[in-house]
Amino acid sequence: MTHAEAAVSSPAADDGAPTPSSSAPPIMKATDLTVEYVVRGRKAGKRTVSAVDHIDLEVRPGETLGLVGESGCGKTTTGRALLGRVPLASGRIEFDGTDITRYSKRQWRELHRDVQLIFQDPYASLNPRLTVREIIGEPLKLHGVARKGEPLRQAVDELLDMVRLPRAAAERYPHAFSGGQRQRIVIARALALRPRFVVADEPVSALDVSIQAQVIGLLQDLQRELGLSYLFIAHNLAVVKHIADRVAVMYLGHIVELADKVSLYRQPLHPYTQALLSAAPIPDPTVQRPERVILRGDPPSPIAPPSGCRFHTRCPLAIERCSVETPPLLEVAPGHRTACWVVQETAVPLPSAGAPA
Amino acid sequence: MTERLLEIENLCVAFPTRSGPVYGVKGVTMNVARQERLGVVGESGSGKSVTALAAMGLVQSPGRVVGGTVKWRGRSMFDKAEAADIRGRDVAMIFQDAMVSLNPLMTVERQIGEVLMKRRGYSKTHARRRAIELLEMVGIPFPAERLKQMPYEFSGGMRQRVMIAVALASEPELLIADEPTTALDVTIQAQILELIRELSDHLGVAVMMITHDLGVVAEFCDRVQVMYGGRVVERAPVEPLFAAPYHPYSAGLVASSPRVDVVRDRLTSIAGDPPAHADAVPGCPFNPRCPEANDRCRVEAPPLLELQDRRWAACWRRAEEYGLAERSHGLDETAEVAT
Repeated sequence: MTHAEAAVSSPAADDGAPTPSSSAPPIMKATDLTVEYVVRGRKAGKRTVSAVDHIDLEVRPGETLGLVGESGCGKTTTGRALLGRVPLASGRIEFDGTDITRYSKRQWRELHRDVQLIFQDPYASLNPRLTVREIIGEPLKLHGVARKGEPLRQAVDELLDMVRLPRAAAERYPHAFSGGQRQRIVIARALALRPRFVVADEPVSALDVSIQAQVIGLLQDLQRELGLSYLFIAHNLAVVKHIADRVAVMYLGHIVELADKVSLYRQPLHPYTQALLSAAPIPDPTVQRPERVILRGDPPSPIAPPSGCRFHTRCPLAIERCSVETPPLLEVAPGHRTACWVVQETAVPLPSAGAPA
Repeated sequence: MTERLLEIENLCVAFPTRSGPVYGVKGVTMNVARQERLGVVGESGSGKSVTALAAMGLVQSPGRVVGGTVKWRGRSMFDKAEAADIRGRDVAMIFQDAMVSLNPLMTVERQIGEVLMKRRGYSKTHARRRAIELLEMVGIPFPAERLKQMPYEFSGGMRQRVMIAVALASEPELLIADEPTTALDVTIQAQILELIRELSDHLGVAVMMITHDLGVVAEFCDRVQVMYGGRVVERAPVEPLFAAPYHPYSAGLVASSPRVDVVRDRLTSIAGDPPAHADAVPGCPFNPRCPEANDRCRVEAPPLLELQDRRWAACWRRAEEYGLAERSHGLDETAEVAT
């Protein structure tokens, strides 16, 4: 990476960002997306919390966009908003070029052929009273793809093949399966209608390490076979590294960094991304790490987010401006955007592990 | 490193089920030396938490210790009175979820004070002063004010610190930490791990770190026991374990761990699923998933053998390579069940 000319583009007008594979129009695009929750406190009364605060996001056909952040950062809410599961306070969502922001319930139901969700917990998301055949067959029946008899039987068998489960699994109940197998059932159900865009909300976080790798490998295979696009939500940067093409990092409702995988991991620019990377334990005792960036304190409550840059209260680099003005998400190197005054003002990428401890 | 604090020998813990007893842990042997940091790594159902609870003499009914011994400096942890005495003073335990070990209806001051007064004979005023010191030591800001609060008034990371303060109040020699960072956010995980590291350095406390995360093992531990299907399958100092794992399961675990510092397009995975309990699979518990398994592996469970200095593995294939397979016998299943 050479000297980054801070290509100043307004954060809202992010069309045509000069990234390598941006030629294809996005399959899912959110502009100025805001989701608010109403919180009723005993003392403070009614307040609104913006769980997602004016973010822009796009997922391109066939790519995996990783969305990473810690609890309460708004990553799950973002994923749900893209699937019409939470009302928007503002913003616009387009699927494959069509504005779906104001879709009715009926329209959303129809759209669920194309956009689907994979849940985190394979124990909670499967009805224990239904057989695997009923679980996987349900969306097929609801959407009239295969209503009963031989076509339905065959469709379910094919879905089981697709997620590498034995066909005999169909007649059994969820309790008979391990966590990894259950997640395959969840995936088969999500893919039953052959969607084009899938939000995978921490799909492997509840699984054992050796099983995580299997499920991620399966998601990668299916992406290639079916041409899927994923929004892959995770709470740390390790798993995402192995599946995402681009990665967005969220902190308290804002996207603070967005870049292709290689530059994000090689040269993280935002101090929060640097801290996240630095905090991840590396399973190799011989790795010599630069001085660790250990953040002090807890993330502030989303109910009363700090002024200016929401990260400034924990940021080792914060300057005065950070507590006053919110930095926009700007492109500081080709395909690499960050929302940080310090980075933008110096316009020279910082060393990858932010030396100040 | 020679002075042994905790010695677990041939531990077997069984749980009754409708179809007979099921073993959570079968023939586990391990020990912790003074000031050592031992990692116990394994996936769910590997028996790592059951081992830890048995080490504290805390196996919950209907689970039952059906064989083996656990000794703290030679005293049996299976003697209820001894165990109660040792637990409060010499060994302390912290958990994944602090709310499991903290009393939700008691102020932090009372919880720490209770330990100090009962176990260390502090007076009430002295206990308060010490409690403030402890909270300060675990990095809680405004310790005097926070002492008066209830556990729910603390954030997840802070609550974890409170639990550590309670655990350290009795000045234990060994801290058993069962997945202490698993439920926390990444940046908070790093804080808590750093805190445990500092405390064990400064206070000379030995730590038995139970985790599913090889990253935690690599960054924290001196020595590691890898558990699978209710047994220890490998035991080694940390560096050689990562450099050249002996057991195929350890090798698979190292290869499948995601890491932020290496670009790999695809993670290696281990085919199949872990067994539900120790007797779910005849022979070596790993054999159905093992790329190297042969006929003997499918019938006889391999014993944990020392193949090289301080390098132990329970694997027939490694034993063959070191010329130990011929002379060794498989684990005698019936003898263990009888105890």
